[in-house]
Amino acid sequence: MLIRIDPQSPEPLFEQVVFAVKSACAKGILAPGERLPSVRELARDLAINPNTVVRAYEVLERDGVVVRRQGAGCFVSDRGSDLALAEKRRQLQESLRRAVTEAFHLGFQAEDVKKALAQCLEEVQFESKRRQA
Amino acid sequence: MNSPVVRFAGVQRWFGKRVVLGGLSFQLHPGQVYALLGRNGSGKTTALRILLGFLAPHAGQATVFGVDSRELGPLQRARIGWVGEEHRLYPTMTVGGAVAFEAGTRPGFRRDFAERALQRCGLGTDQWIVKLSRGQRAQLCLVLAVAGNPELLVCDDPALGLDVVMRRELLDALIDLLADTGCAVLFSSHFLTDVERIADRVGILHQGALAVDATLDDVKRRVLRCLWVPRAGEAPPAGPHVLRSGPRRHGHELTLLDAPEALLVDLRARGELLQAAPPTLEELFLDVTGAGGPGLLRDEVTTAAGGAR
Amino acid sequence: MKALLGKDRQWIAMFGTGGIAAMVSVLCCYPFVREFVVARGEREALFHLAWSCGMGLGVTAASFDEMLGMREFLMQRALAAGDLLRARMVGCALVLASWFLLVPVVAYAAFFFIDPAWQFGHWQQIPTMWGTMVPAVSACALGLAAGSLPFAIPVRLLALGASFALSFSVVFWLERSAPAEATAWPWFVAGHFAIAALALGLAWFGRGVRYDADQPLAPQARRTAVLPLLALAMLVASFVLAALESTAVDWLRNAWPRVVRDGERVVLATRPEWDEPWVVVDAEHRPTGERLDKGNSIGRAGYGVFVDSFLRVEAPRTAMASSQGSHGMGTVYVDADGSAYWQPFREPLRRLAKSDRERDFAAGTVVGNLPRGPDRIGVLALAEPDGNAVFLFDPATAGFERVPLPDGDRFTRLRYYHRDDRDARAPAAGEVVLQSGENLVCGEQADYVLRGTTLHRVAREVERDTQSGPRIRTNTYDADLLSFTIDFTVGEGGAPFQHRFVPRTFAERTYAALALALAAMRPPVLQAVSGCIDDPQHEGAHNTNRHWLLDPMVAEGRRWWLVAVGIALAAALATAERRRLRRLGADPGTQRFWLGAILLLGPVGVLGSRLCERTRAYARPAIAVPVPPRLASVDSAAESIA
Repeated sequence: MLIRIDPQSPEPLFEQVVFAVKSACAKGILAPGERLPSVRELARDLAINPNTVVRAYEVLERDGVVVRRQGAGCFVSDRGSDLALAEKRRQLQESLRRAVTEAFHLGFQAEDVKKALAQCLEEVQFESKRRQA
Repeated sequence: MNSPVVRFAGVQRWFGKRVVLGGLSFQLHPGQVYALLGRNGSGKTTALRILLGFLAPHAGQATVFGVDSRELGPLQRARIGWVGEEHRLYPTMTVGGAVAFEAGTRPGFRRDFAERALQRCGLGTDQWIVKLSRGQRAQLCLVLAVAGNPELLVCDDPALGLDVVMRRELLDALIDLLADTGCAVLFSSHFLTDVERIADRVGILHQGALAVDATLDDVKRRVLRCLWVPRAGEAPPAGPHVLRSGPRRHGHELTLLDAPEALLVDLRARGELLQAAPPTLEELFLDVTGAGGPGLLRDEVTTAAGGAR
Repeated sequence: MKALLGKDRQWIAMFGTGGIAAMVSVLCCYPFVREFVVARGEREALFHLAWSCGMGLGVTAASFDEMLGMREFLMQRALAAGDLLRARMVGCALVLASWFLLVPVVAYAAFFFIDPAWQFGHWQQIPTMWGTMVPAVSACALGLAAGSLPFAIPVRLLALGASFALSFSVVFWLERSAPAEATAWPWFVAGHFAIAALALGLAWFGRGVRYDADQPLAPQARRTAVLPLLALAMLVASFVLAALESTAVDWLRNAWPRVVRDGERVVLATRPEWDEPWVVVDAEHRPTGERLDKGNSIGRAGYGVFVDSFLRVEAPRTAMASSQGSHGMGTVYVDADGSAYWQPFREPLRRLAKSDRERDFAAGTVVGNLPRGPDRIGVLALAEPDGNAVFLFDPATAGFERVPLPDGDRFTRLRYYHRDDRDARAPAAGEVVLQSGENLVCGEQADYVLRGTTLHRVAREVERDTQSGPRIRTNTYDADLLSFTIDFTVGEGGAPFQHRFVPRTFAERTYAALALALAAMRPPVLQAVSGCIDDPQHEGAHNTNRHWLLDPMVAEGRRWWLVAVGIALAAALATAERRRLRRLGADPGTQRFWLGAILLLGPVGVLGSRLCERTRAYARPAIAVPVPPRLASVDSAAESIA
């Protein structure tokens, strides 16, 4: 798994880790049931505080992206998210709203945003696409 | 686990007429990594020396594990690891001798751990300490401090004078320690990128007290740095949310704290808002301690909402 | 403890081996016989080497870590301050033990290789060797204690020097108070161990004390470091003031006119330079205008005070030393207990027997080389104190030939005869001719010289009187450093001369005032004691050996007003100093401490107070009220993910 983080980025470190894992799962780099690196390994790889990794894993677990098995480590969840659909929707709405707000401040028009979204959707292997492949 | 490991409460200290600490207060909780930042001579070393009982404060109190720093006994000292500024070790000893000395003066010292760590660093036990390079000595110091299984690790600028590789190895050793034991770390440093990687919380010492005492997440979440080019005749904003406003060639460089949407809208209405982003630690540090900056951070007595302590 | 000793390994090894090597080499400067077999009078070199090595050891032990900059490193170990000090003491003890144990052993072994006279046995001199090395213990303890003082290094060194000179002198006077000039070993050893115990005790009680220039001294530091230092300072100040005072008194004595005899007349006169004529002065010491080209001063009048007689760092001496005599074939040694040894050149030592029936000579037997005749070929002879014979040694048989003193005379001593050319006269017929530089046997009745195998009586020389003309006996009354009366009579029935010397001229008064002013600066407590003591020597004595500790100026209550002035001065200084301390913000305990110290010690106390209670330590710089950080995260356990 290749995660790159930038300590100087505006995003907090743990969120960078969370996003990296989530995108790796989404892009199929991490298969369901696959074991994530241990906190220590990841912390050393990224040269960041292990607390940050722990925190990121906790967020990932809360979001249902990974499951933690006592003594064995963290694994990519195969059941998908445990969160209720409504909550999932809310989260999706929230992240899209954030992206759209950013786009607005950057001075894009709605058409540009739609195009960009379509491009992002292309990059991600959704389940239906995966089945086709 | 809620009682702080380290607690500074209004610590004052001066040398002759020079006031170094004019009321330093902060806390360090178990498992936290706290980076104490500041310019040279800002009192970082003095604060750490007071914490370890090498110096007595003139006012206020520093406690470690709830014990006054002036009364630290062997029991508390055994729980503290210390890496001093100059990485002092007995020049009359070999590496093995230093390990043996540490083992003999610190109950709970993990000798096997130390030996393994030294092997990883490529330090032979029969090497003389005088012949070690600065980086090797720094590593040895850290290994010795960490092998004592401390609950609190105090490092005074551990990376000073080390090259990039050495610094990374030092960081690795620290990460291992944190992963293994979850001990609290209080360190001072000049390498802000390292701090950004490893610290949970930073304190920026300026003019004898902390100008910033916040988690790194908070720094990123709550502070916004932007360039604002006002239309003709528009004055730069002021108020509790503006930490600093520095004039630039075109406009003003603004550092905003907990900026409400209304303020941003207002700024956009009165001018052009560019490059709005959280500051890097370096930028924040410069804002706080750099020329022209400090006044705004310190002069305002009112605390921003949510930031009160 | 093991780890701490490991850290000190370097200096322990260095001082262990270095000290042993140095002391052994000093011992090996003399032959085996003199070091191990017969009693040495004193072991000067060993003594001085032992204390200096000991002092170096103590200072090194105390300051090793600090010199390496490891003070804070050690503080951060899981160790109590006592552990560190204890380890240092143990390190010193190891080195000292190695010295005591190995110096005799190594020297003994070294002699096996370098001295053909080596012989197994002969342990009898090892105790005095040890005794001479005991000062290493006390010097080491002093070095350790002074080196551990929480003050700047110059202060520590000063304290070390003062305490060393003082305590060694005290031991010297203690052990010397025994009869004879010999060392009373129990006192010597006990004295040095007492010093060591005192020094280590102080170091132990002051172990945790640290010095911080920006903070007032801790009460503990005041008790364990300042108090002993004040006591030392008091003694040093007394010594210095006594020296200055005696200089002023000396100036006064030089300023006073001399009593000059001009034929039958006696006048007071001064002489600016020794080769100028005397200027006669009247009873008020004013010049009368008369000059004397000739005239004998009958001596300088007044007291002298010798202040350099107290500080003594001297090697212990044994009561009865061995005696030795040598000639071309070897050396005969007689130990203090009377056992005699013969050491031919490059051959082993042999024990001698006095006769077939008796083995040892009497204690205190001496050896000398007695020439048998004008050809100067001599024979070694032993003589017992109070014995009625001398024993001539025959190297061929290693036996003795008994030669009785004539007329049953008893032996007292051997005397070295030196012929003065003024004695040169033709010897009378039958008179024995003495060689210059030969030994005479002195009996109770007469002196004898060996010729052949008999002792011949020689005439005792008359002691020449070096005084020319009859001496004048002067009487001195009411003697004091600043005044005395002198009276005497010149010749038979001459007119009696009497004069009272007191400061009369401006110069004399100035010197006297200077001496008095210096006396007023002395510690009032010692002045008060001085006022109460007897001054048995003052009557009639012109030069007095006196203790510098107590002021002769006020002895026997002669100048209570001076004591009062000293006390008043101290009180004024104490009040002023107390005001200063109050202004600085010192706590009442500190103020009381220095009030007492200055009342007892006078100006020395003020000096101490100024040095110990610096303005800087009490300074309170203005500090702006700290502002809470603008950017602060709320402390909560949630934030730290444990």
